[in-house]
Amino acid sequence: MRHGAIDGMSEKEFDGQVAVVTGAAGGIGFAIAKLFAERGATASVWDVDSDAAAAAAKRLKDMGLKAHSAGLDVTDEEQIFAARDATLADCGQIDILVNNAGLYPEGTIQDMTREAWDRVFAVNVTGPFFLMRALMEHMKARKYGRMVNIVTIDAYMAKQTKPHYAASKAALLSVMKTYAIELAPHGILVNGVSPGAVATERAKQSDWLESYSKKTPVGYTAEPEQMAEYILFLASKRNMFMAGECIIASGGFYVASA
Amino acid sequence: MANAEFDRRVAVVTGGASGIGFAISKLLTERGATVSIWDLDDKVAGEAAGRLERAGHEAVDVTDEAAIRAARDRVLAEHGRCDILINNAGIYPHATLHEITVEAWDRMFDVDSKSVFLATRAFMDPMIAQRYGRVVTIVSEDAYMAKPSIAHYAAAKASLLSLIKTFALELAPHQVLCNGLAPGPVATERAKGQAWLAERIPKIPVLRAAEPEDMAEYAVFLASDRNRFMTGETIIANGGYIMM
Repeated sequence: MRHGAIDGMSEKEFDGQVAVVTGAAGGIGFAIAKLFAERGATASVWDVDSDAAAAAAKRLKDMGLKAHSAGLDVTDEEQIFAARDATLADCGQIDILVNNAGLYPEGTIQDMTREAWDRVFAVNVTGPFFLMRALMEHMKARKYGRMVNIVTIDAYMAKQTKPHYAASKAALLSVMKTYAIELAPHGILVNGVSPGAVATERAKQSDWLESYSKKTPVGYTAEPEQMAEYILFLASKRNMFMAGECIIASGGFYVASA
Repeated sequence: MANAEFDRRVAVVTGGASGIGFAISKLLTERGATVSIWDLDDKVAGEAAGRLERAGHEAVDVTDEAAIRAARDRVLAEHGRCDILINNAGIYPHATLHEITVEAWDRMFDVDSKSVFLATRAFMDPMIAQRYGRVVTIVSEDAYMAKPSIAHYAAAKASLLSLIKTFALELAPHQVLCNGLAPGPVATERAKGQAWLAERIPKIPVLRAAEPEDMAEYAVFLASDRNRFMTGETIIANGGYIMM
């Protein structure tokens, strides 16, 4: 169980494990899936765009890594069941779930529509709730599991440019804690990571990223690969005693703003 | 074969001779670091270091700034650098609000709070100069709770939550990251067999206390290069025990 010296061999600390990552066709999700695969896991790439999921899995396989893909809309419980069953059929087991899929559209209190509000909650809260429920019985039967939810520092803050997004992530914090208490007796640890500014390809095309690196105490924004390290740590057997907690990795931004 | 993760890293672990501190020292050395074990008792520190590869020791009273600086200078002279400081030394004597004397209160804050200020300040300039450092301070879940049985300990640990953030902001531009680890109940040799531990275990969602080695993993992760974007934060690792 316990890992001793980390050398070139035991870098494969996820050997024999299967990690599902939602929203993994690009961005942080793909970086997470890739790091899992590089450290020995079969990365199961789940995405709403099934072609993009398959292409991402192929990229990993072309690197000599173990990968799998499934297309699903995380707001549809039937599609979650189908993706789960297909993954279990192909990979045999699921050890890890990373709830990474999420929306982060702009919006203000004034221009918010009911549809925009509901859509963000459906993807960011309802999706993770039903994903965790769909996988928990399988993990309970195996008496092992790790679930990691991608939250955001916006969950703790006023967010006038994305009130629905921030509120949905705050709700996810609560959902995560309830699952943590429910599943802890079964060897399943549920936690979260709240990233600060991450330099994804999409963010690099925006105007906010540059201003954030100036406002971030460490003086830079995170690469997706740097953020993936926190998710992998919580998803690993190195984490044996943390449940219901959310790591804030914001380069000091959150500390400076609090 | 790739290098060990902490190859060429030098770490100081205060209170590193036993309990969580020794588990951290052991894990760091197993992953390639050179560790200087600091303890009040020279013999105890020496014996602990003797059980590990690449470990030295210093007898240091961490409430004494001159002693800290002298020990720091010896570590820097011997190894040329110090990359990691683990602020682990601490005391936790139970006493009720009525029983705590002024001397006991002051002693608690000296050992569990001021020592962290003094040690971190002593190492920050060398870390700034090398543009690299990881400081990990051991807090406690008690920092977030009412603790009638050990109020001075809980208050001293709560003070660390603030201190960690201040050092984090001060040092972030220099690639020195400062974080905390707040453990729940840990089955150290000292804690095993005590009534409070047995009473707590059924209330912990994972239904067991942590082993010192469990806690070492969190501290070592925060002290590693895998952590490049987290600073000023404190990880709570308490088996899901719900905060009241």
